[in-house]
Amino acid sequence: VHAASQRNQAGSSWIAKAVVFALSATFAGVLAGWALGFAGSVLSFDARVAVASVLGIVAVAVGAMELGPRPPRVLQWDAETPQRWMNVGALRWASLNGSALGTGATSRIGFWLWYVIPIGAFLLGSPVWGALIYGIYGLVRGWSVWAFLLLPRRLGMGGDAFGLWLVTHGELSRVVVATQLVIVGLVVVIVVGM
Amino acid sequence: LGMRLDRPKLLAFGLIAGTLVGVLIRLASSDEVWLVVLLGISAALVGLAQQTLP
Repeated sequence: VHAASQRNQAGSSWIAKAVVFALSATFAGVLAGWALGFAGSVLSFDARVAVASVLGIVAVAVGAMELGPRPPRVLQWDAETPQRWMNVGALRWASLNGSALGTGATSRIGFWLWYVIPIGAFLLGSPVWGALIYGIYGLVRGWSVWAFLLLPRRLGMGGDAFGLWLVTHGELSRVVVATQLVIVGLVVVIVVGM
Repeated sequence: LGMRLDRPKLLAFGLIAGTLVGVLIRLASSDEVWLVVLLGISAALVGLAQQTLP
């Protein structure tokens, strides 16, 4: 299976795979945000404000807990993207993987702050704003693959050492995104309440 | 630009860029725009933070 997968991953340059991955992630994010914004526009403004005011308080509470010693478990599919995609060809794999990670919902999300993206896109009730917010997520998620490809060489590290370096900064990431969640919650409560 | 970026320079650039962006947004903003900016920053932060997931 491994050999077959390797055969399927061969034949395309890593640049082509990285570009397809990044473009797919960005496109998937834009599309998901547009759809959520469109769906949200069906709800009345008052209903969206009411939901946002409740979720703003929830965001502050969850963010504060995430900063504590026992962060609440994130509701998520705790999984990677399917292994069988390795067998569909290099560029299709890049496209499927990019699409899945550019939306994020079907794989490990890791942080409660992720929920701000789809919920925010929905509650703003605007396809354009939704596409912009979710598109930024897809763009960052997709194009950061270039950091994996280029930074280790520039830093004189091996790919594995770079991956390990990233994982050892997981705690810092948790603090940063949890603080951001508290800030988002506070701003939403203030803006919606005024 | 051929410039070597160390930490103080990065911090200075970050502060200047952040201030400029903040002023521009404030000049042209409604509450909705503020929220979109905040959510956009959040989206970028999550995308970056997820790179540190095992």
